[in-house]
Amino acid sequence: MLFNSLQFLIFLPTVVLLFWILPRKMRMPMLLVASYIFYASWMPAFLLLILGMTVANYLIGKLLYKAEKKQVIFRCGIAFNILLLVIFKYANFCFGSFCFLTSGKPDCTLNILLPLGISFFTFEFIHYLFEIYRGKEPIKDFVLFALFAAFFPTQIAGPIKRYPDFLAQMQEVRPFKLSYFDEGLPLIVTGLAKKVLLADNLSILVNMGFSSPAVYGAPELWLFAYACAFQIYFDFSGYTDIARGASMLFGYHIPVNFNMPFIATNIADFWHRWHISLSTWLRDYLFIPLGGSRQGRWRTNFNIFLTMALGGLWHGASWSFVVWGIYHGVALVLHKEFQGVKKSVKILDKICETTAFRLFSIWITFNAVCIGNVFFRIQDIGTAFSVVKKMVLFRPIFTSSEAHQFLVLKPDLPVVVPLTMTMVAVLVLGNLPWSKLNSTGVLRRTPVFLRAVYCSVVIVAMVAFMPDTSAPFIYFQF
Amino acid sequence: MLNKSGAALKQFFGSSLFLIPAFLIATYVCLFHSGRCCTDVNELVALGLPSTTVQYTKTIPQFFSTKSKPQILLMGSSLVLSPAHMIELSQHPDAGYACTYFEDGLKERTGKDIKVTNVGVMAGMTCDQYSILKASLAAGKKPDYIIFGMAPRDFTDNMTSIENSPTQQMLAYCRSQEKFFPESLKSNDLELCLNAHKVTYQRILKQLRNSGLQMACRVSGHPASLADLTVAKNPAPLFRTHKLVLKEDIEKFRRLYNPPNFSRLKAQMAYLNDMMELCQQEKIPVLLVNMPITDDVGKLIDPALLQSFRQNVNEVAVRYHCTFLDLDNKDLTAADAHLSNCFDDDRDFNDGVHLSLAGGKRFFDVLADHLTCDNSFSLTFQTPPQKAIARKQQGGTY
Repeated sequence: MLFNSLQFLIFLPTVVLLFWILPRKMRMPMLLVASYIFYASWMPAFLLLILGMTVANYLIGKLLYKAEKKQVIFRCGIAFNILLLVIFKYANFCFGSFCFLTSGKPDCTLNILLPLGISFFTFEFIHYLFEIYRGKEPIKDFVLFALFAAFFPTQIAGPIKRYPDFLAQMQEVRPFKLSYFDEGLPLIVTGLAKKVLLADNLSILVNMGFSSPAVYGAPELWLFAYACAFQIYFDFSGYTDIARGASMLFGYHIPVNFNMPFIATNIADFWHRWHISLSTWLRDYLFIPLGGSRQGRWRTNFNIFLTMALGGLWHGASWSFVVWGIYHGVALVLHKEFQGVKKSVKILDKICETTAFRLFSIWITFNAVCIGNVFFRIQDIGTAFSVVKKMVLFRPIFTSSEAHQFLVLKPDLPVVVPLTMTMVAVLVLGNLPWSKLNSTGVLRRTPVFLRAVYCSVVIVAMVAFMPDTSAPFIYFQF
Repeated sequence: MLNKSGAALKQFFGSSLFLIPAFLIATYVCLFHSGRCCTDVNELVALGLPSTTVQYTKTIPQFFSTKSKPQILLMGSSLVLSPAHMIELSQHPDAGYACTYFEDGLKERTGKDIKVTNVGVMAGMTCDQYSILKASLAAGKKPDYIIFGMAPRDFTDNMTSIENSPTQQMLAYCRSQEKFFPESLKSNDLELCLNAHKVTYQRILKQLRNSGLQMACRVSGHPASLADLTVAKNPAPLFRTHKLVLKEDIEKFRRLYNPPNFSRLKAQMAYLNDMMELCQQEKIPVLLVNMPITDDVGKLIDPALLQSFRQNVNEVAVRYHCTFLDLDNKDLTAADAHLSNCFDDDRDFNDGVHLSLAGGKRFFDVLADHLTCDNSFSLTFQTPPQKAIARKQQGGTY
């Protein structure tokens, strides 16, 4: 059941209605059943997996809290979760890589299906065990524990929740308020518009470009990379907005996942703004347990690098995601080293404070992210590297031997191509002023009447201008 | 207590939960009523109606573009379009669906100029004909006489959607008086009203999308889509102009008729019943004609389905006192068997069901001869009842 499907359009209001009309005691069990129905709508067999993992982690949590020697149980619990993730997510990848190395066959697979959202709820379970190990109290009520992992708005692609915060909200007795809808509905509409109006339309250009990148020159490839960056952003932040909006209809606040990532002034700043729930998870449960920044310069750099490489692998069982993670790891290490140099050279520090340098660093960071996205988008590493090489060396602009014609000049292309190109230009140029406006909080303080007008206009525009076919959310595959 | 509920209501009316659906409904109602009537074919395509839909239902905008009331309204599917088109095509290459040969035949037999308006629509079902008739009456274009050329496909087609058919789409663009609510609570009226809203919704979306797309095309100079560009450069012919029965044709008809769809027959018969009831109320005489088709295609229809079709049409004809002329019943015991037998599969058809030039002329001759001795026709147009005079009639054959 996709968020942008008719089934969800019926499912969500039904569950919201039931939630508010049922007696308070029945609300959580009903929400849990609805969440499991939501999960089973994709493949009922995997309901056993999420149920099994929930029961196991609930019991491990209880045992861990009471145990004297916590470390053994904690390690077993973490190993259990990682093992299941490895079996379902990485077994095909490991077997395929092994076959390729030993026999040279590229297409070996174990045909293990990837359960939807496994990466997200596994990370939530691991976080839960970590927190119990660190001394927090476990969740006593099994229904609440199960709902923490299975809550349908965040079940498939996050944001990755933290249990103390979510548990407090679930336990709190909340009366029905219309303001939940005033906040939730605009978020849902905005999220849907980001997906069907922007991401899906941009995907036409991205698919066209990255399905046969060899025929395009550097300017086109940069354009596709820009479009791809916005496509991924609108796709995922659209999903998050819908998830947050849907949660709001039940009166729950879930974490913000994006904070205007394309105005980041450096790659570290970018990761503070992009997929925030994942980056903070990686910091708290991978980087810090690895030693964090307490064990010297080179060990810190290694920890950053390893965290990002594993973060890349978390995204998908493919070498291209590993390369993407390594790329970001290297970029973060370079940024960290640059910070050291900056502190020691005063004039450099002063230059970095200027507005011009700030704008330049936004531009550089955005381009660096776009280059990384080539590995995110193109699964074949060889092709991805050749595309990046073409982009960075600006081929064939500076090689006179190759004929080159810029896309927009070709009159026989359908109008959707120049349209999406214009859209990319508007997004790139409009990003900064929009972010400024958003940061002032003007949009959040808008009266309900204007918000309703905004929602109606966006809904009409959405149904009129969405493409004929809509792809699933990109982060569903992770 | 009252104050509390009043405050709650006030709060509800000021919330997104009420305001968003209210704005959306208001937008739809405004767009529903502001959609202007359009009958120009090029403009219809520009407004976003698919070119195939325009091609299939070209007769509808032509019909609504004139202010004159029709004398004889020829209704039906492509089976009534093809004979007119073939005859017109033999006279000039840019042919439409005028029935000049039929009009000449009537004049020759009755001595009167009687205008025939062809509103046949390709792939039309009986519910489509009912919608056309209702739209025609709503537009003040009440015909003096109706000839409805039907075939079993119009009642039992398994493949054609009745919800968003080309006719319904075209009517949503060019009919003049559309009603927001159903005319009655009868199931047919409810279904038609629902279908009208579905196609109107699609029309509004297409118009919105197209207005943006056209502006983008104008500014950028790029085509809307490459497929449209290719179709516009090389339009496909409407009907075949020479005999060609392809295996794919037979396969297509096999899928149309099989498995036999009795429930659709029942539903479409209800529309025929409503249509005849409307004609009776409006005092419009009707001639029901079962169009000739080839034996190759006829054999594909389930005998029970065919029998049920004939029986039902006969019952409707008797119930509403209209004539039923069966041109596809070669059973020698049937009343019109000699007329059915005058159509030859090889000579008179261009494919499995569509009449050729020779077949078209033969069909209109048969029709003209039949009308000249039809009492309701004579009364309507004040022509003296005559015995059937056929130019080529020799011992009951044409």
